[in-house]
Amino acid sequence: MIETRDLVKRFDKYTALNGINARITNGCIYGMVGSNGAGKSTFLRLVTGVYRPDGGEVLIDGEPVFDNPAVKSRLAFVPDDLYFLNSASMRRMARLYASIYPGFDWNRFDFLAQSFRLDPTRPIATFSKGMKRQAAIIMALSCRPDYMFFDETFDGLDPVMRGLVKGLICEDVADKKATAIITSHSLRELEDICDHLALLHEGGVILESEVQDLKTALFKVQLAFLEPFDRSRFAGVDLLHYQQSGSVANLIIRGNREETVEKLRRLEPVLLDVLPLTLEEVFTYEMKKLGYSFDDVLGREEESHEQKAV
Amino acid sequence: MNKKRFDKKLYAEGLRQLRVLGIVFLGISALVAVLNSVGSWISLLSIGQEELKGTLPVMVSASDMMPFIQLSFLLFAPILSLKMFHFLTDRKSSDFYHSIPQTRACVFLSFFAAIVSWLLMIVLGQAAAAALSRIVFPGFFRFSAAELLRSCLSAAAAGFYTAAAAAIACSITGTAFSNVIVTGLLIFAPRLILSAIVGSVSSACYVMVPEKLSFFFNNDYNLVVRMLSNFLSQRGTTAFSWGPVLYTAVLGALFVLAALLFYRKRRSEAAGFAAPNALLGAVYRLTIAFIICLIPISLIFGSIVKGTKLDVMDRFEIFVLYLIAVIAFYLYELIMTRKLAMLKKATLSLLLLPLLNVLAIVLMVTAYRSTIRFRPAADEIRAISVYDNTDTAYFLGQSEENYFEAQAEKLLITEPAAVKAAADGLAQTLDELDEINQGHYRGDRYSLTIGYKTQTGKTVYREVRVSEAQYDTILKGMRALSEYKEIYTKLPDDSATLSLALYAGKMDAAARSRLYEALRRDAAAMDFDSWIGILRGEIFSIDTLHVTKTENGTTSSFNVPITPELPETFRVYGQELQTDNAKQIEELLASVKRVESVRLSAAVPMDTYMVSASLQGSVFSAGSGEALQFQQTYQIGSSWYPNEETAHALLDILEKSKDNDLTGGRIYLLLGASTELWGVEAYNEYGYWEQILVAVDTDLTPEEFAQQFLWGKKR
Amino acid sequence: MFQIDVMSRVPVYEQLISQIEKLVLSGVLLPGTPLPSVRSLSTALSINPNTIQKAYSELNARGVLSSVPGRGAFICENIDRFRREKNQKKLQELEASLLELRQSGVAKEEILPLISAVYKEDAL
Repeated sequence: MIETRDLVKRFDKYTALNGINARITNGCIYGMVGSNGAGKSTFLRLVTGVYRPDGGEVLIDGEPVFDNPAVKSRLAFVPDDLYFLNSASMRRMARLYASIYPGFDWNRFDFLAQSFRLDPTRPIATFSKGMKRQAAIIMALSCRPDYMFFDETFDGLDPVMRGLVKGLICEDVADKKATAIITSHSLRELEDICDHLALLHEGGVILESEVQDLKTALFKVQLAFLEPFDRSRFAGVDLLHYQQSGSVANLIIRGNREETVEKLRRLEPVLLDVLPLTLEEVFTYEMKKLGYSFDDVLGREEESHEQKAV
Repeated sequence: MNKKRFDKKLYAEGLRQLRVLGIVFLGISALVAVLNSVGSWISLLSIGQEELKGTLPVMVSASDMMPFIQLSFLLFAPILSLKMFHFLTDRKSSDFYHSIPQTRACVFLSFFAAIVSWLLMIVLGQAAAAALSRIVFPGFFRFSAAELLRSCLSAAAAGFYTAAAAAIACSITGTAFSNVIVTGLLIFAPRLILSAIVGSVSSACYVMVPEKLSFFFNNDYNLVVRMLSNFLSQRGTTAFSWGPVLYTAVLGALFVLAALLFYRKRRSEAAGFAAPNALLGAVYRLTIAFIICLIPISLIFGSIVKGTKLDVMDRFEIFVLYLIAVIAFYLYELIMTRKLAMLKKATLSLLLLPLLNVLAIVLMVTAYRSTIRFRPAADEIRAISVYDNTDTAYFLGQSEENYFEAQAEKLLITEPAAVKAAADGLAQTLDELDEINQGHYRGDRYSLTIGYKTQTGKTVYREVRVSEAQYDTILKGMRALSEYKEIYTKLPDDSATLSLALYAGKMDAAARSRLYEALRRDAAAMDFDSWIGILRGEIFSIDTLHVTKTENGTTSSFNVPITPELPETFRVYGQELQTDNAKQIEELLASVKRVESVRLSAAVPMDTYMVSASLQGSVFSAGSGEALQFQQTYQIGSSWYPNEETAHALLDILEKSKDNDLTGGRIYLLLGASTELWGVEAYNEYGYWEQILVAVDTDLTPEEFAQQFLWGKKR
Repeated sequence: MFQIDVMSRVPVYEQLISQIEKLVLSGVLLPGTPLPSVRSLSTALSINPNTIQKAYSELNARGVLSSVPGRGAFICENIDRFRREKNQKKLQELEASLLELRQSGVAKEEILPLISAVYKEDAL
């Protein structure tokens, strides 16, 4: 289990992390999302023992990570900024890793290099950006880590590769309850693989939950009534968002879907539609409740999924 | 938790990463050594065979064999270190090496071990290449493997030190440029400052003897600084001694420890920043500025202790230098950031600079004052030791310590009169200090370096100018010691540490050893005063034996004249000369005899066997302080110019020289002769040799003999 | 065997549950049939194994499958309870639909022929 207690990190006068408390159990694929400067990379570097905390502690299986070879030998870290030895090939890097990590598995390395169709004797400097990232992933996975950390690794990776890597991570998680932390700018990159998500903003976690819960906790209901009505009709329901346009109302509701729908049906609407929300939409509403705007915190990348007035 | 301090695999990785640089450096060093060897072999070949015989095999020192070994530790070692720890200058690589599952201590030590390993390989590889490339020319070179190894040890210690300094720099700062600057500062700044200060004080204070200061102040103990200054001033390398090696190695070890601590404290995020914290930035600035301040400090100090006022030029110089120091202080900000705010931040630490200046001046003045305060009365001194600066022997321009003086220095003189003279001499010198500071050195003074052993057992050294009377008293006190006599009469006999050379004569090494043995016998048997007289006085000699003793890293030497006053020596000298020349003398005899007989034969054609002889040399008798010198060319053959007397005389001399009997004879001939012989059988045969020594038994005085010999019986 | 659409708004967890239930109800997955292990399913579909684990747990709770330690997950021998609950739900939905139809003026007579048509083979 990875545990951080009141984790604080400062760079000169700037506080990057402001007391992070997190608990990540084994076998979990934990996603951490946040904009640039939110502190994701800093967090990962603290968990992997690159940085020393300025306050609080980082523990893996109860032991502090910093300068702790026993713990660190079970970790593998793929940073956002990849590092390779000058003019090294994958094989040379593998030799470096093999001499450092006790659990390095050459068979796995060969197998992965083959699966990704990368030539292990070619200098990595000649690889494309995507291939370099794949090389780094191969190195990390070949160490057979119990804990894997991917810093914005998936951002911009092509779908085939994503599928491959996702499969590999899932395999390790299923096999030996390996744990993975994946960070990203974008929710979309994480939502299909993570089972937990945390939203990091300006050095603090503002939202943290199981993905399952997030996806099922909120839902959208579209209702229409023949008679005129207003919001007060739905007093008994936990409404996050209410929008009415004539005789049609759109409600974002938190709660047990079946019960709530049942309740609403008893109001005898002429139209009742239940729609699941995308994770982005869920986030938007949850964050609004906490006083943040999705755009400010995570920003938009592609087409918006905002509620369109009907 | 099992904390490993060293990881074999990481060490192997370190070796691998340094491989390219290591091989290049090793290659360069080995190549230089080999080329040097080949070069000296070629230059030896170009000397004539005959001349060569007397010198082969040539003794080469370690510094001859590895002329640029300084590069190993001045350049190669720190570069290896900078390369190894280069990963700390870039965020990506720094993060990587901080994420691996080895403790920081382990990473540092494993990598540093790799650096040291390559350093050793470069140094030893160089030595091996040098040795092998000399052995390949059998008989040409002689060297001491032990000395070679000792030189390697020195270089390794120095390299250890510089590599460790570079490691500290890398652990502290985060950019390649600042790494280099800090490395330079760490290696040189402390010693530079210290020696500048010590130098200022000792040059202002005549009586101070800087060489005798404790090792901390002695520049020679820091191998790097010493070797660099030797290299720059083209001085011959000082020989090996354990003290500096240990000192430098210990310093290196301290540096390694410091580097380790800094590395463990280091934050990976410091990568890419020149001064990761304000304190260190202030330290660099102050160090550089302070170094510039050394000159004005020295000037101000000088004026304080000598009581002179600074003239306008001096004041101007001081002002300008302080200005430069302040600019240097702000240099980084001025060049890099150009922000007023940064300048303001730096100013706070600028206040320390005048403080340091004042501190330095106060320290120096105190040191000066306490030095001149030492003015013991005769009864406060237990014993003195003396090194006579007026009697240093010079040989071929090299100044080495005089062996006898060096040995004599170890003696303790307790004779009250001598002690008193020494005390008086010091007091006198101190009184005359003002004059000396002005540059007025009195001509009737003898310069001695005296060690005063106080009642506490501590010995204080002072450079003293004594009057003639004091000098004689002190010398008498010294001569009274039986050990003193022994120094002179018991010449050293450990041949391993001795090296012998003759100024004029040519003899191989074994012959020289025999000569030296004869000398030892003479010295032991002789009357002490006569012996001293021979050594010190201007005595007639036909050659000089230069003896060098190298022991424990120090070299000392002495010269002994080859003179009939040293009977054994003289005899062996002549004997060895003749033995050496025996073959040539025989040949010459044969040719001259042949000419004789041919000449006497009536039927000799005109164009055969014309022999001309050229003679130079001296005629002298034992005990005479002079010799008659001459140089003549004679034709002693052919039908046209018969010179029967000269031919007979030459034959006579040659026969006598075969005898090698120099014990008899009241007249000696020291000849250098050459002949030319041409004709049908021997065309342009040229035989030349030097130094035939012959004893002639005759009643004639040298002048009479010379006349007869030189100008024939006719006159 | 399973078609999971990761892009759909419906969570993977729900898709998996509904697909398995559908296959059980339609008789494709017979009682006693072994289901793929969490591991193989997660690898094959590149889905978070925890998600699959949760789906299996839920199905277990609903009586659709049972996990035998060491042997994996199997469709329950007795899926009657499940079937009954499912039918109960469907009937409720039918009731709601019928209410709607009635409200919009559809007469009972129009409904009954539909019932007969569907249950044509069985005697009414």
